[in-house]
Amino acid sequence: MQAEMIGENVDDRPVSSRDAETPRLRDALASHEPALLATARFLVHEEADARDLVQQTYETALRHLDELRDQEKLLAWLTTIAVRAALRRRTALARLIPRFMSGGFEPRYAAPDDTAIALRAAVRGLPDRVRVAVVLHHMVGFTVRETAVAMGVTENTVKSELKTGLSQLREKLG
Amino acid sequence: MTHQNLMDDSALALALRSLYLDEVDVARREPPVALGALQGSVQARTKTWSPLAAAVVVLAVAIAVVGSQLVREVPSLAGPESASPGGGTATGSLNPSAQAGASSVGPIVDGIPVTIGGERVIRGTDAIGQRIENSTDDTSFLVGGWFHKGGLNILCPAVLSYLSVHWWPCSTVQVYERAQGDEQHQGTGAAWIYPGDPLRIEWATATAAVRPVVLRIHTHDANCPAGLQGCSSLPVLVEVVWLGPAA
Repeated sequence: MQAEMIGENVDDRPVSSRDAETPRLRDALASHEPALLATARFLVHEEADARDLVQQTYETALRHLDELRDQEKLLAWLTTIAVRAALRRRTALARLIPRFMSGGFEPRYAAPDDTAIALRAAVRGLPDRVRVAVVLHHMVGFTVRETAVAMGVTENTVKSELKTGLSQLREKLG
Repeated sequence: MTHQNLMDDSALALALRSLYLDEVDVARREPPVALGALQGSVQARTKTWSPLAAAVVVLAVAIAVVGSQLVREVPSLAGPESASPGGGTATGSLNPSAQAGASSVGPIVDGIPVTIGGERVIRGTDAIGQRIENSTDDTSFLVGGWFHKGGLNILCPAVLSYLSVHWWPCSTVQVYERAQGDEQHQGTGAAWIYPGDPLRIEWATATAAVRPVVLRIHTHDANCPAGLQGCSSLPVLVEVVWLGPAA
């Protein structure tokens, strides 16, 4: 359940749903959207999916605001919701909706140099779980523990995924 | 920075962080994705109104009124292509309630409204499929995408013809993830939506031109034939809520 997973790792200051009406929290939620969209673009392959993931994350967050205990960790909380949703989505079969050969998503905004372009492509080419670990830890800045909580795996698993990730990135860039 | 510079872990980690921050900068310059939903859920509860906010609301209402007139004109602005070969037109699929709903079209991203009447428009075959899968009753929801000109040529085995036209897979309309002709996204997925009983859309409307569309659909349709196994899980059109201009 989403409600259970996003209640993990919290301190003792509950935030009531009414806090969402305060300009501070409202602004904080809105201010994190670019970071969340940037993360989503590395988590899923399609631009439309990334945007949808952000929308879904905010809707889930608003429904579960009562479970946010520490506003200082709002971005980490939102990111965790997005990661869980992305991982769930990956395993869900779209019944009755044929998915034809996907053309894949090419970033609309190329980075300024060849290496950055190559690195972006290399990240997108990583296996899903490895990519999520690399994105959360090395790009978003989660600790290994936060990454493990977000992914629902052990810290040792995250360390292993990160090692694999960096190794594969080097191979792709070599 | 060259590829060779990224061969040690710390340099690679630094480059990854830099790549992410660049992407955040890009996202910061784009229109908000979820702000509509956020406004609907949060800002609507705001009780105090500053004079500036009141002025903004008056302006927004004025824009909405003008916008609704424009939206109602969209099918006719689409030109001759909006007329179906069978004589039906795109206009014919828009019922009065659909036009009323279109008066509160939210921000449009990549050609599709993010919200309509404050309700989120679901996009992407995975997201739409998941919503359909999670549907346990006939509560309707909005899905957005593109009609393609010519539609999809589906091989319809004769064995399926025992089904009435309303529940024949060959009668479905396809809502594609991307506009037709988008070279980068050739062959993207589509949601197959059943046309409803009675028919709530002419097939020609969905195939006359490339155009963005928002449909209200549901599962557990009340008119599902009793003998059609699994019919309750089929996505069925309730109404065409919004039609964008033909490309």
